[in-house]
Amino acid sequence: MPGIDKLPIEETLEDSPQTRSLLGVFEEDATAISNYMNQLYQAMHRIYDAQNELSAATHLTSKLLKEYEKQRFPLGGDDEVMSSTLQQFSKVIDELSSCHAVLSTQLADAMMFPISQFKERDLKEILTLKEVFQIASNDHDAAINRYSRLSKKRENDKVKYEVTEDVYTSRKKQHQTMMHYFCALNTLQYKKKIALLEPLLGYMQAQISFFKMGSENLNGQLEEFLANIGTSVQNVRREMDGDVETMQQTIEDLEVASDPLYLPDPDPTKFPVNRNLTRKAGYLNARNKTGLVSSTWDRQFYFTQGGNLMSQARGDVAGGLAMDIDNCSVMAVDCEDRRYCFQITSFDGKKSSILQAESKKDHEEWICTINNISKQIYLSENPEETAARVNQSALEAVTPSPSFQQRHESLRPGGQSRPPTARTSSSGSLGSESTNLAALSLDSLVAPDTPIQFDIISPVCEDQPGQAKAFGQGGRRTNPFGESGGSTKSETEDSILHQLFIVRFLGSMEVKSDDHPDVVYETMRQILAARAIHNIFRMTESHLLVTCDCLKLIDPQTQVTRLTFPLPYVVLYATHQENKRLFGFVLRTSGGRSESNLSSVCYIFESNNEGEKICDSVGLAKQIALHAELVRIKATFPRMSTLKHCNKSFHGVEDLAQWDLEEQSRLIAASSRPSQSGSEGQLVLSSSQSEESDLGEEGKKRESEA
Amino acid sequence: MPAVDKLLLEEALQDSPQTRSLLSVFEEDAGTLTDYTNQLLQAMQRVYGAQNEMCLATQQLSRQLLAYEKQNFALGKGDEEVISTLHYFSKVMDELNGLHSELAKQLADTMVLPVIQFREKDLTEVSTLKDLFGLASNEHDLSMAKYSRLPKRKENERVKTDVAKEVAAARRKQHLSSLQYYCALNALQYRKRAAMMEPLIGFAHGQINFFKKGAEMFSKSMDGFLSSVTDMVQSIQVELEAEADKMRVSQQELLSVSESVYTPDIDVATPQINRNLIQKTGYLNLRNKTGLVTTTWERLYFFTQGGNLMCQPRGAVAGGLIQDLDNCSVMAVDCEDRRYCFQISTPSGKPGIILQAESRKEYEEWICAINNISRQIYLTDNPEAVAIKLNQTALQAVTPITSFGKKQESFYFSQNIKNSDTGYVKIVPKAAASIPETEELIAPGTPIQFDIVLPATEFLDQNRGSRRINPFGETEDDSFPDAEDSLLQQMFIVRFLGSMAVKTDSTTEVIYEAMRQVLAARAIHNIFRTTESHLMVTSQTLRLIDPQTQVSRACFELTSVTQFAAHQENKRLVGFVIRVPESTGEESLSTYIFESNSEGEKICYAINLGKEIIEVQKDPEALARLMLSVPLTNDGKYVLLNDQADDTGGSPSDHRGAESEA
Repeated sequence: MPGIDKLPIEETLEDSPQTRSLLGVFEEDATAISNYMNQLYQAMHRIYDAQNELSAATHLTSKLLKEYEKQRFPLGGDDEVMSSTLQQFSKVIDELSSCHAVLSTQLADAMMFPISQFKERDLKEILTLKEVFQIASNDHDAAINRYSRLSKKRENDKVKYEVTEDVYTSRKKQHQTMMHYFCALNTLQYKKKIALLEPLLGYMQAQISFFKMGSENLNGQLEEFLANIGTSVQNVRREMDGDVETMQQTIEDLEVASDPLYLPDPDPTKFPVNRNLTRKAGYLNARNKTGLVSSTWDRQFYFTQGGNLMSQARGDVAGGLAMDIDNCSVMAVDCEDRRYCFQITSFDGKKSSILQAESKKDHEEWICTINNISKQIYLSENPEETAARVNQSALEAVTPSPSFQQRHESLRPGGQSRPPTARTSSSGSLGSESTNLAALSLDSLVAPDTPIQFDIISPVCEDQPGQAKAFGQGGRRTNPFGESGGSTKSETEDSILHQLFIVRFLGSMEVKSDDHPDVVYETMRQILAARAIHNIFRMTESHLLVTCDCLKLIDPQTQVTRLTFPLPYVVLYATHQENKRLFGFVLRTSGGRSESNLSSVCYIFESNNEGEKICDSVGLAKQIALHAELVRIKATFPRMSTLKHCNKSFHGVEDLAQWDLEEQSRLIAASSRPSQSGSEGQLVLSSSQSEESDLGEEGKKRESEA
Repeated sequence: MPAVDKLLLEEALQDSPQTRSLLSVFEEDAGTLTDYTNQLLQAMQRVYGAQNEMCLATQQLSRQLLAYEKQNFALGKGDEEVISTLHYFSKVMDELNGLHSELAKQLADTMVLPVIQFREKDLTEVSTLKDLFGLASNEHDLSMAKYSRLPKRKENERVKTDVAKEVAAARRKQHLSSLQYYCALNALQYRKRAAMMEPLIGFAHGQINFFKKGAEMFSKSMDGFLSSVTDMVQSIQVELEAEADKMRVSQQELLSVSESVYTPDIDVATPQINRNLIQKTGYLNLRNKTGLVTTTWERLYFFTQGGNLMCQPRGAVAGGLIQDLDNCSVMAVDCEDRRYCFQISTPSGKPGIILQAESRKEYEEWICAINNISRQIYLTDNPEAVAIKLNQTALQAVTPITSFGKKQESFYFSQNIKNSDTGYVKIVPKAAASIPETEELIAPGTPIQFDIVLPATEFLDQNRGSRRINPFGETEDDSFPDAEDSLLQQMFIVRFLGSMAVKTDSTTEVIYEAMRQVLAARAIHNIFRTTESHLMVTSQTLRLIDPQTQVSRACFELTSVTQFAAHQENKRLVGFVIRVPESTGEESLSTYIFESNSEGEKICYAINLGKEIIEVQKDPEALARLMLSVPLTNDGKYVLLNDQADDTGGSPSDHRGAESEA
């Protein structure tokens, strides 16, 4: 090391301007060192900060790759390969981040710490010593000035002594601080070299270990891994290119093929109606009543799901149930002057929707599909085939054919020969007759082109006049007996037999014969076929009340009787052997003697698996009625001629109603005579109670027999 | 690669809510992917930014190391090795910076750029297609609503056809845009995998290259260099500690020794005054007149430099000249009731400076030192010895001693012997006897004049002499100037030192003794001021002229100069004896001592030549021969001396006759 300039400590006592000047040079050098070291410190600190930022940024990247696994990507549930690859990358980057963190620590320890030490300790020490020396120098100047002003007189020796002491003290202090200051400044010439080289040594060694560590971590295995990933990326890219090419081709094909489909109402000749569908999906406009008069049409996506009609708004994740279309009725409808509208009514008549299709094709397809679903064809093993067969049958049912006529002619004579037997047959009888009639032709049972009524209104209109007449006649006959007769009737009904069934009216039609259950079966077939053909899906739900006098159809909501069928006139009733839910009966509108004026009407209902129970109930009612008649004959034999006369004079429902009332009155009168001879009212009440007991006993016996 | 979920293009036309729902799932996935990609891009940009900052920081540090060389360090001796080391460090850092720059470039190209492209191109494409699809879907909805409101009536068939076409167009547009949108979303499922992987591959490759090159760079010859630098640092540390120890020991010694020097005026009774100094330094208080009455005393550092007194304030880099000490005078002075004050006066008599010393020791030492410098002792070969001898002589001169009296007695005896001798051979005995006669040449206690004023007084006496000349008439005056102008006129620069009365003019010893006494007295009295003059030698007179005003201060008749000589040991000293008649009838002898710049002998030669001219003016031929025989100056000088001796032995009338002849 060559000689270094020095501040001579020996000259500190003399404190000449040359010494001060040299001190100024050293101070200037110290200031230059301080400035340079500050700049060097800033540069090194910038490297340290950059290294910290690089470490933090690398760590953040690694952390973000780890978070890929936690991202809830809706797609790519099978991204295990992706996640594992990113985990591998994250591990590599973590190691890299560790290398950076180690480098950052080493830079802090070996580079920043030495230069910080030099700044904070050595340079600050020199600054402090400079200040202390300046203070001592000022003190010395002040003391020497006071000393110089001492006078020549011998007096004031005490003051002279004190001033001399001050000079002594301040000179000593200045000397000592100056020596320390010079020593520090001399030492600085060595320290500045060390302070300059030591951080750089630390920096270089940190970098060496950094690159060594990095080389160890990023080894050939990583390169192999990267090569694999590169290959995977190439494969993904190739797959994507292939897929994109395929999609582009598909787009071109779809553009060509879809062009005819853009028209909302395509030509029917090109796109025939498919009537065999058991499910369908598409956009329909649903009518919403928003006020008494106003309404809006919402375009929604409708699709069938089993026996349900589902609707789904555009933004919904899944569709919701719009309507249960099992056993529903569907028919075309005019609404607000819009085209292609149809109405779906639920089986219980409570709910209905009016929808608009886009085209005629859509319109017919939706009606047929809903109709197919309504019959629950979708539950069968081969829905398509079953639907096709049903449609074929429906077509045959509504189309006259020669074979139909032939079968009709051959059946007619056989039927006429057995009317009395049919009237008195029971369930067992029906079974046996069914076996016997196996050879009969269906054509002879129901006349071709017979009109079919589909709504409950028609039966009401048809029977209302008859019913009115019946009530009128009853009123006249009842009047001779007074008010008690009416009350007696009500009590009788309530006490003897009262069974209620929930049924849905399907339709009714006139039949030519009422002596064989096949008539009911054929009627069922024709009515269902006609409903299918005409897309009638609406059903009227009612309560069927079975009493020993009559059958009543009651509105379940208003409890108003829609229709009443006198029990004696129900000459035939049966359930379908293949579908127990279907139930029908034949109502004769005249006696067997006057065929020319009377006709039979068959009524078909659908119940929930209770068809057989209804038949049993009707059978029971008939037994009760028969028993009551026998009792009457025994007790009132002399009046037999009167009853027969009444029967002859009245035909139809009116006669039947009158007959029933007279019988009841006579029965009550007979029972009152043997027991008491009080007022008529009292007797009537007693008779009624007695009648209840008797009928109850009879009911129990018959039920046991059944 | 496992199977990827796809949006079925075949379902685009039907556009069922299930398709829309699946589309929203894809859109949600794209949204999540966009968020994640943005975060990933931010992280990668942060890595790139940090890497870039590392480049800039490394570059700045490298530049800072190079800047060390350009720093104007006041003390830079021995920094060459440090500078070369820093150069090497800077070179290594530049290489490292190259690696960092390359890594930053690779990060930008292979890591950040792919993510940016993916975001700006693919994700933006998906977003654009989404917007287009939304627009087309809305248009289709509007068209369908309009179409659905068409009535059942057969009229307005044209309107129905138009509306149907409109629906067809809108439906086609929606279909096509949804096809493109579905295609982009399907492709995104592939692209997001590549977009995730590619930047990381680039990043890893960049890092691998970075570490490979770094390891290569640092492995070659770096350890040796670092070892050498470490050794250098350690050796500097060792030197530092050694120097610190040495300074600490020195500090301890100085503290122990210097304890007594802190008191400003110690040992007043017995000061160790060094009077032989020819240079001195130290702090003095300088008096400054700041007003008519007020003054300040400024403590300044004074030091002598040759013949100059230098003054240096504390903050000044170098001292400045405050006064020339050559030929100055210094004396103690009372001023403002302060102790240890002295005054330095200039040779020209201008007011000097007043200084105050710290102690009596300093006080006396400064006066002696300045006195020594004033005599220019510092110019001699051995200043210290000369100063010592001079001080000894001065002491003897100012202190009466017994031996001095004895010398005086022998002086008279020698004089008697000399008066009886005649002839050249007798001269040698004169020289032998001159030593004991020196003490009898000058009376003890003879006053000495130090200033030019006295010669002026003498000049007045000469004027009275002129009155004597006046009786001889104006004609002789006219001839006198002519003679001077034509025959001899030589000028010498001299400084008057002093003059004193002497008892005899028969020998040069008188001049030598007078020189000694004058210099001693000046030294004793700290008289340093000298008056510089021009000495004009003509064939008639010796004239002292003020060099600035050209006014004659003194004039001596050449014939009155009875004796003249230069000092044998110091040729610069020259003196002559003037015989002046007194009003009482007696003659007074005065010696005048001058200092010249090594020209003393020339002055004597000129005077001698002038005297010879006077002698030979009677015979023109002899004058011519005299002028030609210039080489015989020494002999001529000797002859003149003999003549003078004869004249001295003659009667006063002879002397007066000589003057009459002149």
